Amino acid sequence: MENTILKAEMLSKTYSNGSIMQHVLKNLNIDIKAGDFTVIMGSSGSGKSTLLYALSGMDKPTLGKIDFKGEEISKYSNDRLAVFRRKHCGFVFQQIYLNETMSVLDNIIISGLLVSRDKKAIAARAKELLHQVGMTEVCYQKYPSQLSGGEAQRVAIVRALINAPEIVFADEPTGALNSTNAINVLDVMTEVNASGQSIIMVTHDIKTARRANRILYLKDGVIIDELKLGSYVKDDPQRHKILREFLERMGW
Amino acid sequence: MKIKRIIIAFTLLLAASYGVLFCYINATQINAVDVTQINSVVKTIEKDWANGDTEKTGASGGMAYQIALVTDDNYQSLLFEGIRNRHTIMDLTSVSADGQAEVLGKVIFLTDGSEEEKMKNNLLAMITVVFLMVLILVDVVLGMVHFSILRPFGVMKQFAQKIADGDLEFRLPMDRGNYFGAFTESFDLMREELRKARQGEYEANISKKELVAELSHDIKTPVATIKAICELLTAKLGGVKFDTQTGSAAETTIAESIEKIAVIHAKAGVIDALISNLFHATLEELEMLKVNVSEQPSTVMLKMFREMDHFGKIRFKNDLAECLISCDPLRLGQVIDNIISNSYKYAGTDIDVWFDLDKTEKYLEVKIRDDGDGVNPDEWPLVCEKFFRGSGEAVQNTPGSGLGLYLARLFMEGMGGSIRCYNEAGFVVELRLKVV
Repeated sequence: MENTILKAEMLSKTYSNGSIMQHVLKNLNIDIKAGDFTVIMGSSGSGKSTLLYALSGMDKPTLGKIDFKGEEISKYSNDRLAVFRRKHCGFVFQQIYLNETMSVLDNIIISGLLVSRDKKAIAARAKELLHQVGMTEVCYQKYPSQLSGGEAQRVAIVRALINAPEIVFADEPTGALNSTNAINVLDVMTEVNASGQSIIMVTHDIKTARRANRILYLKDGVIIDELKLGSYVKDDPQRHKILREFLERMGW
Repeated sequence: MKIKRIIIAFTLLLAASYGVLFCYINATQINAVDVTQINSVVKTIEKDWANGDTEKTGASGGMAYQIALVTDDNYQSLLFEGIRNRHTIMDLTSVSADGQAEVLGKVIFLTDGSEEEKMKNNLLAMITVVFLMVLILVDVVLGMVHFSILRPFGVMKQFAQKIADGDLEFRLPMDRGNYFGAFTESFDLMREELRKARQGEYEANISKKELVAELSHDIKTPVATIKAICELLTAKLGGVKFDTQTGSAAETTIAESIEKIAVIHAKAGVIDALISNLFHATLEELEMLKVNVSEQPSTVMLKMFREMDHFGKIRFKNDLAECLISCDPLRLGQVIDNIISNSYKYAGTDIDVWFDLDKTEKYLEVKIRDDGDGVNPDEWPLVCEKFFRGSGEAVQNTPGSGLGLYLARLFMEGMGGSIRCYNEAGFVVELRLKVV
């Protein structure tokens, strides 16, 4: 259990409207190990995104606790949670949310400055990461509107990685991309994960899910089953078959 | 059954009539050739012939004829053909001057000898068709009468019998294509209304009883609290110290207050007993009170315990594991209420509470323990039985109905949980609640 970095115990999230309570997550127990590429799947309204936000400290659970490296973050105040997120979590969303008035490089540096004051070091790391995700120097000074969807999402991934977070949380990162761009972005995420980065990703796309080494299937706020896949191997038909069978069993 | 017999009888009658008629017609010989007329025609031809009308073909009296003279070359062949075609052939004679009859030839009447056979066959065929049509028509009419009138009446008779027996769930089948559809529909509507009325009456009765049962049980809780507070006030006022100068007046006031409190306590006891009587009367018929299970946060229990902590005696020995449990908050509140009230009533000591979450078996255990004398081990399985009261001194000296733990078990089981009672340096009640 020593490499568990995130652990949720009896996690529940309830939305109340007067006397009507809607339990979106129900008594969930999850362990996330360092280096895992975990994918959360489930039908619409099953609580995937709620779970992702609760685990990442973006939202507070109603019941239960979340431990991050032995710290019970579910008890943190909102301010402390914000600091925690900046230091330890990276986020990639379906909507890319790059600042349109800043260049690619500045978009990344400004996120780095939230944690460190060493701008030079941040810029150097940003360039290194941009290079790693296949962005050439030409792009550094481009504005988000001059980028393709896939390029913008790769910049968003670099922004998520700039503070060397323990975990990257991704909510449908390829949801708004065409298939070529989606594959590029997934390749980047797979590479990042191969270098030891933990990723938790929500998706409803089987091709995206195939990249993970662990699939959690959520139904009505409960994890009904999980599938452990080995590390991603490109064009492995067996992997796809196992995943498809698992999803069929789950009523996908 | 009757209609079937009618159909069979009619069919047999028709078949018999047909048979008789068939045989009769078949046996009848019809002479299609009218000999008198033929003779008359021949005589007319002979007369005409004598007068010089030697037309060889013609028609008279509705019959076509042809004359073959012996002098004709084709006389023989015409004759043979006439015979072959079964024509009627007569001699054409003339009387010569010497009064001798002389055969001039033959008059061949173009009648068909087989016509009479044909007519007979046609007649038989026609009779067969008519008989068959009558048979089919009558059978179809009778069948329709059976299916659309008699059978629905039979079903209605059965329906009326069921209604009379009190079975209001029996639906009257309706056939929209049937003439009686609307008629049967109104019968079924009547049944539906009757059923609703009866169901409404039953539900009203049940809900009235439930209301009385629930109210009487709910009233018991505040009454128990009033009694407990009376006891607390009596104890506190009894312990007040007075200084010697102002003492006597104050002492009198306090003594009077204690007396009044004792009256309140006694009256509360009477209310309690009356409520119990009321409760017994309805509970017997109800068998069980409604439990509406929903998913609730386990934290609701903390509030329930706090609400019962009038004397500050409840101590939580560990943190409550936060989770979602299956429970009815109202009923779970009553369960905790009954357990804590019992403890106040019979033990009066501190109450310790432990929470234990079993993630594998998926239940939350709540252990409630006091430091009282507990219950005789022989009676452990019985404490949750209806109207059972322990044999211990504290129980015997305290009024009670023997329903608190019975209801607790009823409610816990209704919530999919369980309750267990035993001694462990005091009396322990262990509740198990299902974790979602």
